[in-house]
Amino acid sequence: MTLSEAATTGSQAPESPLPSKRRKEPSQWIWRLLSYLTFLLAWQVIASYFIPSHIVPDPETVVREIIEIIEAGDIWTHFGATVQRTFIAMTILFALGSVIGILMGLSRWWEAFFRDWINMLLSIPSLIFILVSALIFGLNPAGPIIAIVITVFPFVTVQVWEGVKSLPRELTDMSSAFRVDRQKSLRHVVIPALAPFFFTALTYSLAIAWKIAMLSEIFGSNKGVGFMMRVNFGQYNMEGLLAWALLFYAFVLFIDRAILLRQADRFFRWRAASFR
Amino acid sequence: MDASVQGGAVAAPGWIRAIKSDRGAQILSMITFFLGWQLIVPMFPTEQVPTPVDVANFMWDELRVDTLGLYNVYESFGTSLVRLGVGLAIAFAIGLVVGVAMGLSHRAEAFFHDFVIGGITIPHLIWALVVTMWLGFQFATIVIVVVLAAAPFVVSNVAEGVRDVPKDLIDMARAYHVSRSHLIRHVILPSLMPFLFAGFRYALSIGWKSLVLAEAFGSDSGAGWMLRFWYDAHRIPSLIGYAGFFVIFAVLVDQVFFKWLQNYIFRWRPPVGSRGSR
Repeated sequence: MTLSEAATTGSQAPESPLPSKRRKEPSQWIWRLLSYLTFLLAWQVIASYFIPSHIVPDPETVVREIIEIIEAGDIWTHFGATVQRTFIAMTILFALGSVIGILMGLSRWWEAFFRDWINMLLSIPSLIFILVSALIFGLNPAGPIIAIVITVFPFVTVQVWEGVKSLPRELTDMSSAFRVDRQKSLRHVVIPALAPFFFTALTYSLAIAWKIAMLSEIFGSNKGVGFMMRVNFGQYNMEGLLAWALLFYAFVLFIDRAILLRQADRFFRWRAASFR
Repeated sequence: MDASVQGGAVAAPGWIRAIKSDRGAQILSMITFFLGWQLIVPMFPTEQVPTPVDVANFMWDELRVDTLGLYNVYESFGTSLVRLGVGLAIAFAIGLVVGVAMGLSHRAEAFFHDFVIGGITIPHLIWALVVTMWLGFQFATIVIVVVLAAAPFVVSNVAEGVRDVPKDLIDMARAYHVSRSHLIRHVILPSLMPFLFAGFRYALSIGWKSLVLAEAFGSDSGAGWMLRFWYDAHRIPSLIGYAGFFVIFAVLVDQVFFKWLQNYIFRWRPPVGSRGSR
């Protein structure tokens, strides 16, 4: 996500997140690299001089811990569990969110019906959903899944809703002028026009979903990345905690950069072809 | 011709029109939800799930300062608000400086960019845990987490705002030899205001969420800590009741505080016909 997209999530039609194909100035790469190096340096300094190293271990220890974790093989069980739950939850919440969002966008009545609830859900701290479902479901994997669904689907709904509302009226007018029936109009006009909004909703909601998954595993699970973090925290093993956190973060970044950004092209391709 | 009959259609009876109105939709949705909730509860396999009545009782007690918790709802939210205020003030100070730098210089942008993205995507939980282990249950702990969570948002909004100051206004001011301080006060600052305002809104929302999380793990007072308290005590009606308080708080902040702030800051704008704040 570019900076401005992260700050002002799509109330206008989002542009493709891929930069145009010009080469980045070499000086920009240097400054970026410099920022990573500065971060590592700052970490090293803080760990060595400011904060006792049993609280913030230095980078080297954490890296060694990461290697140990990967070699121990445990990593697949836990990453697998987290990914599985997030995936199931994303499917449910995306479907739910899109349906409600489309309803709200197409009809004032449904908008009035759902609007207050969506606002309410958005203003309740996610921790509450996590705690309540942990208390109700215990260690059952349904707990984290439900917490993720309830916390995240409003974001999808809002994105899709704004998207539908911003559809050029000519599209819908045209399909009613040509007497295209409601279902066909939905499938072939509305939904493709919503592609960029679906995409933004997907990236944004996935980012939040990972965090909720991790947090809810801390309270209500016996496997998964969040669970491992809790185990390490309970044993005062800060290297372990940071190791798992860094691994998870790297994984999330990988999914975001490598997979989603590559797919961005496909979603935005039809726009370039027809609107340019 | 009879004016009440248009082209053969007959006006629907009053109550059907009421349901079809927007107001009707809102009320119907409230009724459906609470009724549904009340009816679903017995279907749950567990005894744990409370009914709306249980939750309402709890909330009513709390409001009357009759609480089973360690602090009542007013004390908890008050403590949290103070911490939020301090944290946001610091986040804004940092955010303005870094944001302006990023808006004006490509190099600064390249340097800070990944920090900002990292700041936005690193789970606040990590901040909360590390800072708690470092400083313990202190005022500063919560404030630092709020700063870490909110500053990146302020930075990116300010940077965007600086980049978007309309060039013609600046050129025109230069052409008329307007003094620098005059330029900043009457051209740049008002033009930055929408971005600062948006930044403030986001920062408040993100800061508040991270504050709740930080208090749940790294404090012994405050609204977030009360959530932990009720969780440890296994009292679900209280948790849901607090969710209700959070909603009320959010509504108060949004409808009362922000409306006032918006009217005050943008009073220089000519009145446009009613524009929603969304």
